[in-house]
Amino acid sequence: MLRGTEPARVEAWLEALDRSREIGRSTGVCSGFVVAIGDSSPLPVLDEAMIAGYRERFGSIDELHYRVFDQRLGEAGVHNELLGLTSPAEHLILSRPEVVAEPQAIWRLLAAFENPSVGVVEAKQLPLEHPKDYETVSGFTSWASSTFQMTPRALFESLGGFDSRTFSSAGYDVDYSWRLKEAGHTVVFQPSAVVFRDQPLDEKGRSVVTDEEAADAALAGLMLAHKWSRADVLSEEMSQFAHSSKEWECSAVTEFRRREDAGELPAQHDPANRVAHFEGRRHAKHRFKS
Amino acid sequence: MTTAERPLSQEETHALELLRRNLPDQAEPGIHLDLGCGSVRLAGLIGEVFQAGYVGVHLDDQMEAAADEGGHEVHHVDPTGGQVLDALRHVIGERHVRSVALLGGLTRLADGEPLLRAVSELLAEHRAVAVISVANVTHHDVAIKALLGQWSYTDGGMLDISQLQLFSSQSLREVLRQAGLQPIDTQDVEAGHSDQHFPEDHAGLSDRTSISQWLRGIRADTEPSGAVTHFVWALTAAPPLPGSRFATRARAKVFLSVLMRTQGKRPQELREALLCLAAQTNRDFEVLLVLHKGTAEQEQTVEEIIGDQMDWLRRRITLLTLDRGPRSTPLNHGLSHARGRYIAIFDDDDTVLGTWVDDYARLAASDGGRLLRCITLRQDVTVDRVRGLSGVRAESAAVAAYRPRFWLADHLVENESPPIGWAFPKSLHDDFGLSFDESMTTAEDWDFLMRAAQVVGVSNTVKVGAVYRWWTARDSSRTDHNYDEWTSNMAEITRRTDARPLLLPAGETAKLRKELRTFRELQVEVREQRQLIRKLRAELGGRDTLSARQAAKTLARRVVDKAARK
Repeated sequence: MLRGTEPARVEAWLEALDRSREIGRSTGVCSGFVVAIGDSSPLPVLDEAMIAGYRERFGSIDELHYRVFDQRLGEAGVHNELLGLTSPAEHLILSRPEVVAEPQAIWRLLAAFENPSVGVVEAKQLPLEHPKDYETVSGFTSWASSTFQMTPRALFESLGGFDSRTFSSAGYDVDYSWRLKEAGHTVVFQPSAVVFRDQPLDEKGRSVVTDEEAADAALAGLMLAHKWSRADVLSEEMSQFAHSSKEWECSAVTEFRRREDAGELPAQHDPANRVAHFEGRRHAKHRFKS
Repeated sequence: MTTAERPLSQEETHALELLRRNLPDQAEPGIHLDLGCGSVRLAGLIGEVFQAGYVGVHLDDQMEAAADEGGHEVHHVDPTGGQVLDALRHVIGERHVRSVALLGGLTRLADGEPLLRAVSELLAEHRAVAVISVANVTHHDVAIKALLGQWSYTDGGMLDISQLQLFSSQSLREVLRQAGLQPIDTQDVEAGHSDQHFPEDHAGLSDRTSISQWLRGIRADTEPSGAVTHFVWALTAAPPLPGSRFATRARAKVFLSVLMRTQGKRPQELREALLCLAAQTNRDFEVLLVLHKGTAEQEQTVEEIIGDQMDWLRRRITLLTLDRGPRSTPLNHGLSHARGRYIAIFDDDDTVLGTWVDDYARLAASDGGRLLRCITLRQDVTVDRVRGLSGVRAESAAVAAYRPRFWLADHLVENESPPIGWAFPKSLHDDFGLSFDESMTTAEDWDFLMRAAQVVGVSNTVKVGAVYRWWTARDSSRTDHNYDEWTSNMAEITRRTDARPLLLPAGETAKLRKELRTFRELQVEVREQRQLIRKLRAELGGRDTLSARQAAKTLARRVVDKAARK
């Protein structure tokens, strides 16, 4: 999904996908490759001439689609809408548009589905990988990030895609991973499949997050705690946010209460707390503090 | 004293030695052709030692008188026209030429190229050897005074007033190669104090002054002829090299040359390193990927990884193979092939951010010529296998373990700048002769950095640009070389640094002054506290604990009071 993304980044993303597709074709593991771009930017990032240019330049990609959506539609909703453009693909790749995939990344993700119990596989990010833990050998992890993940299309559809009613641009991938687990599937992290996603860092190497991203994450945290039946986590976070000096945390509490009053909170899952993983505000055990 | 009565000069002696070393023992009799008659006083010796008859050739009128004194065969040839070869052949006639000499004559010609080309032809025709001597205009004594705006012609010597062309070692070599002459042996004349070493008390010429030591040190790194007064070389014929008579250097084709060392043993890491380059926002770079001591199988693996890359990146990668030397040799090997304006070292097990190249390029636009440095994070990593595939696993957060700004004085103590975090101008190699010391098995980057930073200074992007990976459970340079080896190399770097004057960049003295002041204050404080502690111990000995408690309170109060007064 594009949201004010620089065209040069989109081009780099497509260029890498094109190369991946070439390799997939040459090795015979891939019979078709469709790319669908959803744009919910205030002003569309691309125009028809650019799309036509990309189609010509990145000829290994079999189909390239571009749709503009209402800017209020978040990532979860855009991904769901784009699903219709991707038939008859067997596997879906959910990707942020500013990543550059290593040429073998997609095929290494695909290899994990030789085991039919795998529900989703996540690629490792460079230059700084996510700190969440994963098991050696199996790669099992708590949740898979939609920065670059692969999931079977049929499974995605059977679970109703992402919960875009509850989540906008954060938390929907965590929720999807837990719904997969609830349905008996596994979530895998594959460090050998690598994508590059640059993030702004301060002088000490800490990620610089925008207010919008922080706001999305704050509300998503509350919704996840509610949906996955962790009243204790919800209570604690609501209490902390309500007294927070950060405007977006207070706004998250306000929005949660609004949805609660309007009966818009999602149905709860996992009453026995066997699936979802909460460690403070994190949704997985972390190897280190980032 | 006549010319014949003067003792042989060092040039003449060295020329004779070169002939002695390079003329074959068993050769057909022939002549020694002396162009310029500069070796006329060797005529007798040459005839005696080499059984070669002397034939002198005047190149200008001034040589005529000296040549005639011995009653030798002499001729006159115009060295400037296009007929010089024919004229020399006419002089030679049917005789075989064993050797040719051009001692001191080249610098008296406005254009020596026709003569040199003729010499090349003659050497090839007769399978002969030539000896040449040329004054070195870049001797320390000349160069240092020139830096200060001083230039002194003399009657005779390195800056003889009659000279029309001046040469350095490099320019002489280029002129000779373009004319078809290849140096095969050297016996240069060296003098710490040349005929340009005046006035006697010139502070820049004394080898005891800081300025002289620093300049001579820089010069010694660049090229070794600082103390040479005359180049004396033996030459043979060779195919002429194309080139311009006027110094030119092609503009760099690309901004950044990335030197990447690999042994082909870590394919996943290599993939990740190349991915970082594939994601660069600025593509004005080339990659010199040096496979060091790799097997055929490892080479194939590396080629496959390169083959997987996107077309634009693949075209920018040059794979070089090298089967010798320690870890610094691949760097020099890559450096010799580099075409970039700047050079960066990016080993195959580190990573960089997407703006790494662009940040350097932007900084170079304002601070070109200086070493460029970004903030480097450090991260513990290990290798892992998930579902049969190798992957790299981070074990810690990436932390800012190195100072964001470069301070040369800090680097006297330890290296604060992993090589992934800086790029240097190629001019340091091309013009200052800097390369990675192949005698150092580790810390070669720190050694280079210390020399480079003094010469050109360092500019900081003050942005995170790279992640230096600290391998916790796998072989790396830290584990491949034992502690003693690291210590020994670091001690050598320290010794070299201590042996020369140190040039600190502007602004660094303020930091040093502040730190020295703080250090001295702390020394005083420590001294006072030691005295207090001694006093307390004395009081404790034979007193009850209540007094000791009181004494401890007294000490704490004094420390707090002192801190408050600052």
